[in-house]
Amino acid sequence: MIGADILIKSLLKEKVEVMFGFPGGVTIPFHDRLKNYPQLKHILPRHEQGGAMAADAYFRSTSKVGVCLSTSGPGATNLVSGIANAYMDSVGMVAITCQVATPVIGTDAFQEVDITGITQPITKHNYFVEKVEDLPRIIKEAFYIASTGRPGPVHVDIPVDVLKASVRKFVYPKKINLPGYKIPQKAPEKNLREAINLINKSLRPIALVGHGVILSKASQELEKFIKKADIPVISTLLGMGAVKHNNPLCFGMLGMHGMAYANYAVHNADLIIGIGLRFDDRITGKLDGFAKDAHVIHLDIDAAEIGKNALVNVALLGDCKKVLTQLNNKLKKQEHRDWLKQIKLWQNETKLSKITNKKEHLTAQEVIREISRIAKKDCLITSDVGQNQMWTAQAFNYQYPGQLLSSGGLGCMGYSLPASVGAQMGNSRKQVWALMGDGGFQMNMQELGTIMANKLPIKIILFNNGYLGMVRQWQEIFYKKNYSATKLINPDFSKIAKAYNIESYQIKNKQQMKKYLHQANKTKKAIFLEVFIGPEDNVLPMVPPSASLDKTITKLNNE
Amino acid sequence: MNKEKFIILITAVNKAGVLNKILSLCRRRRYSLVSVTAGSTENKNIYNITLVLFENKNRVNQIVNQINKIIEVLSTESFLPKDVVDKELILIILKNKKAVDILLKNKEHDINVRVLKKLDNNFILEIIGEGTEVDHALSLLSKKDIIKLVRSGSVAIKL
Repeated sequence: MIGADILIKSLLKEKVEVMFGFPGGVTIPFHDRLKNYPQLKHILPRHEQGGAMAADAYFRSTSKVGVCLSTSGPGATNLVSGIANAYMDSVGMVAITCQVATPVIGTDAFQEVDITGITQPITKHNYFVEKVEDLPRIIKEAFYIASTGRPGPVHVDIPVDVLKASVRKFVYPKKINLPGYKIPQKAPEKNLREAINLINKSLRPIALVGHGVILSKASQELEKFIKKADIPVISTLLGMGAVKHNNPLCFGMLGMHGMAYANYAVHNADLIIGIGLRFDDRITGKLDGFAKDAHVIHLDIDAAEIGKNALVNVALLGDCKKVLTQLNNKLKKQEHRDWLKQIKLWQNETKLSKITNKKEHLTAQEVIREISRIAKKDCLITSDVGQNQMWTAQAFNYQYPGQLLSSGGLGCMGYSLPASVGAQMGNSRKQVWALMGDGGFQMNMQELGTIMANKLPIKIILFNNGYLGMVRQWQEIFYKKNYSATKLINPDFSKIAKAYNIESYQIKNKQQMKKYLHQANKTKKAIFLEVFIGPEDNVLPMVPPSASLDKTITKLNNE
Repeated sequence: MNKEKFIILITAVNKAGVLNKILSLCRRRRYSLVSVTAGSTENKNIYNITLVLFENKNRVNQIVNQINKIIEVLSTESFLPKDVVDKELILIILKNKKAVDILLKNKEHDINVRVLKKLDNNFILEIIGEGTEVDHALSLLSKKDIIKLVRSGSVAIKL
């Protein structure tokens, strides 16, 4: 047995079924041993970044830690965007990089890079494995840290001589010894009482929910909570699906491109109950204008997030599911009918159908609404970044927690295609629809190769407007339409998909849309649909930068 | 909010790179530190790190919470100077006996002064005291009397 066997056996002890790995000079001892462990499925992406993003989406769609592996030097640096993405969105990932041999570390050896130095600020924790005896403990700790508390990426760097070192026996530790790692569970009684008190007194409460509710699997407890106390619920991008979209208390997404009525509701609330979110600047708008007249209760598992952006009156440090259960036990039944009536009024005035001007050409929103209508109810949606991302968040009817896989905190273009690979690998029975723009597609389009090679029946929807849409929108609104560096001269994308043996169609009007979306819905193979949309279509509503939520724009001058 | 002097006491597992992690965190969150000291405690596997910073209370609470997230960190707490005992070691080379006597004879400031060595007409002294007490004592000297001055930074202990 050698270190490489120890690594694989440790991964199997952690119940890893799928990993995304890309070989190189110093990974060969590991890749050589794989054939002895057919129960560990190794997927080869076409770029390490694709592998990292696939591992990310694997976690988001299965709740099992996503595993990616690369070689030293350039292979490792190619993982960085994927790791940073996982860090920003609290994704449980173990990223393994193989490293040059210990005697030459620090000598600028071939393909050597100080990768643990590079990933330190973008990981929950990282390890350098000095000797093979440490490897089982490190793998066990890595998975534990990645998947508990606030999930996050853990990076393990293994020198090639450690992978080759011979080992007599494989011993996997039974216990974890991390005295400095504490995981909050339940909130203290005093804080719970204060929170309940504020809830009982409030006339215009809002439950603001984020990724934490989904990570904690707390949807049921949340639904009970809002139903009992009659509290409207509004979510962040990553909180979509925490509550079913058609729940009468659900008022969609807030923020820079959230619904105007959601923003007004939050702006006029007298109590914000933040559950599993970090009050990120995309949803608060100008901080000193955020919920000025409201008390704030913040329920989160990360103490460092409480009070970081929004001023908090009552902190509930703990796990969403556990603390919501505690609150539900103390909560008294109440009603806020007048407040709900007001929000519904705002909703009627500013819902999407009211503020969207009918366009002669096909729009992305229409396509996404049609997908929402016909797709299997438990399908998974990956989005890229920019306009396509915002339209996907706005126009789809989310029914399940974690149904939307999107790069929120980092906003990393190129996410959608590799993420669809990870989502499909983790959910072979579910439909995976990968939505993206022409900019983001090209950032990781090499992953069409992974889709082809593994026969993944992913439904790829490319919105082609010939621009880096979101930047072009800002240039239109704030920079007098100076479209500098945003126009894309594109190839024939359909031909590229066909080169990868993926059947491909172009959609230019409503009839084609209905026909090919229907076909995509039925097919058991990968399919690529290129949808041509208006080059100057804009995302509305919009909260301009440095404006507070009440300044949500629902109309642009030239529309 | 007002800025004031805070002392943050951190205990961490004695592992290579922990100090680097803590300081990296301060750097990227734009905290400037007055001083940093690190050394072992009564348990040789556990290190004590003392950070002195000049910040407002909210920012101090934030960095305490962030440092606590580091896996090797066992505890982090912030204090006002009056709530801990903190001392600093200064080594100073003075030009002449007159300057030495100013320090040795001072009764106003709570510092411990000891002459370590005499080289030609220059004197190397050791001063131990709490940071601001030392500042006050040094202000008794004229700049031209000080040839060289190095400070260790504060180390603090709390019951």
